[in-house]
Amino acid sequence: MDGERETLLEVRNLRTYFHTPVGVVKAVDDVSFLVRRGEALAVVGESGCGKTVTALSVMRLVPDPPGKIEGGEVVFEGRDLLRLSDAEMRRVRGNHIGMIFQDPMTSLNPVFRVGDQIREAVQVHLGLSRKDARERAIQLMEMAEIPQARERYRMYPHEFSGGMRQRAMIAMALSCEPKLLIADEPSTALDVTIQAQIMELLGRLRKEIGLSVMLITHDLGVVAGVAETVLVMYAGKVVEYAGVDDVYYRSKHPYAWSLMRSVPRLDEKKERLLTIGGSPPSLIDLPPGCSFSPRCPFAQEICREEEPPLVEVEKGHLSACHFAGDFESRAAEVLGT
Amino acid sequence: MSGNDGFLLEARGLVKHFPLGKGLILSRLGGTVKAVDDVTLEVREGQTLGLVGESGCGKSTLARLILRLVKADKGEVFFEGRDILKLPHREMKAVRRSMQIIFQDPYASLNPRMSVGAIIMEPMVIHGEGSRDERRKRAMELLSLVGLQPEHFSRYPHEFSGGQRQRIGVARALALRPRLIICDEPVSALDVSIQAQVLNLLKELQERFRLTYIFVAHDLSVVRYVSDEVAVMYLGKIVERAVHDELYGHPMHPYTLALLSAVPVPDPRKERERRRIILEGDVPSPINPPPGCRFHTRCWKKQEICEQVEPAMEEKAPGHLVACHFPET
Repeated sequence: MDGERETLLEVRNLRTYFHTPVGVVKAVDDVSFLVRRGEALAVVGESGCGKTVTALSVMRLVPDPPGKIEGGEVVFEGRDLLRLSDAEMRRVRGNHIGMIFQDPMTSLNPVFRVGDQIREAVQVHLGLSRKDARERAIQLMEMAEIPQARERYRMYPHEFSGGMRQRAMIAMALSCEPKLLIADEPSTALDVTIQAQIMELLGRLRKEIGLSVMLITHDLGVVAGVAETVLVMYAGKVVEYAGVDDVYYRSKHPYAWSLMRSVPRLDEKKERLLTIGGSPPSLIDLPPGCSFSPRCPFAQEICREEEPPLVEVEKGHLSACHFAGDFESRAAEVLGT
Repeated sequence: MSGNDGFLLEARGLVKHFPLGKGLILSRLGGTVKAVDDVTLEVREGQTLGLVGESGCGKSTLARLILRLVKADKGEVFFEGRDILKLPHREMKAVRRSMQIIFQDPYASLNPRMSVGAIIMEPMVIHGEGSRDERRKRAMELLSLVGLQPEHFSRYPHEFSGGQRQRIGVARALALRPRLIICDEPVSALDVSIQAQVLNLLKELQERFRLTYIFVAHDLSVVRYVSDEVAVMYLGKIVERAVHDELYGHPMHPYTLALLSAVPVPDPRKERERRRIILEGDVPSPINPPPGCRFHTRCWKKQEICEQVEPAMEEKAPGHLVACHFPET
């Protein structure tokens, strides 16, 4: 985290709840973070931890009802997006913030040609003529490294492979030169060689057009290759927030720490993986105190009683653990035994 | 692990082509999907063979051919010394006790209307094993074996998380004390923190009961963790096969090399230093796979011969087979 680059997006104390018949689900509960210009932030966590809802809240795309943004601020280039009118927000989406999703097939309309769908986005947002918009769409497809873009313009989504569809989505998201791209599990549904292509493309776009990226993923390998800063979420809350090296090598939260050690790695053969017992809690029925305490190998009495606040343990390194201060030495003891 | 003995399973020249549609029009087009094309492999008793490849490479079809869940067009599968593809149904049923499968999706592979106990006991009922009480007792044993509680016996699948459901699937697979279990992407639908639990469980069970696994997966990191030997598939063919350290340490086939280099490692420093081989384009369609070497359309080492002559599987180093005209050395 360097202090030089200007802040592009700042989310403060965001709370998004879902009101369901069985109770209130606090999908995002007091989440704060920021994205600087050109930065790549990864939001990491398992399914149901609130990472996607966080992204949707920034875009104000949370289905309402049952979801509702209950509080907080989403400041993008100095404006609080939560206070904009629907019409103003539509202009921000697409024009300033683009978003791509895990499954590109659900985001493309199967009965229209891929190129026309991109052209439409260009036409709506940039106000170009049909012909100019078409040329621009082809350019965008080339930028997203779709080979033979001119010929592919006329194809339908089902004629595209998964990787090509994701490229088409990226082309569409780039149509209005956004400053921030929110990518929600963009490569999860893709094969690993295609995933590498897409990640390479995102990296290139960051360099070439200074795009900021907010990457939502559960894949710790992808994060290591792409992100500069990492936000680790668990049960709707931020549990650790720091530079990527700090989180990977000097983690100060038992969840992030254990997660790193529970994934099989290509570069080493382990005899046994460390496991995290149990499963993530239901957001309707959270345990008292720290939500991770029932699964935490280091939990003490205080963890089951008091919820730990997110504090800056070291410069630029935030952790929500009662024992964040000396977590590393405690963890070392466990590893030693 | 010496010589050629100790194989629990040997598959020779397995072929499966799916005709494209049976209707008037589609059948006239005459295409076939060459899902599995002349595959040979062996699995040693008590070991794990990892079968990796991208979607559509034929790895799941191969697994099903071995279990005879899909009928092979050609080839032989020797299990415990007998070619099971030629066995009459009655004898095949007996063999099936020794071969089980764990599926990818723990939501789709458990009948929501059956209690957990009934699910685990079903294989025993089908094979007429034990009395009612014995089956019940065995099911209880199995529950504790896979890390579930006795009170889970009368619950239903929807009451369980993905990881627990996969444990139920494992218990069902173990019910008849099989020797071979095919694990078809058993953890890819699970959350990261749950994957490790299930992988460790599978390893513990293997050591305890000397189980043999064929582990089908697209995730090379997971395969590295569980496998003794690894086979890499591309478009219906095995392109490289070796003991695990050899394959990960000295990959010889360009596809394996590219595949390994594409897998991200959860280590930011290593990621920054890594040089990736980014393959161009997509996997070609298995309907009309490229002539010669199937990988030549994406291969950076391609020569003329690769477009014309299909490379044979050859042993280039002890226990290391590769099908490439210009393998890495």
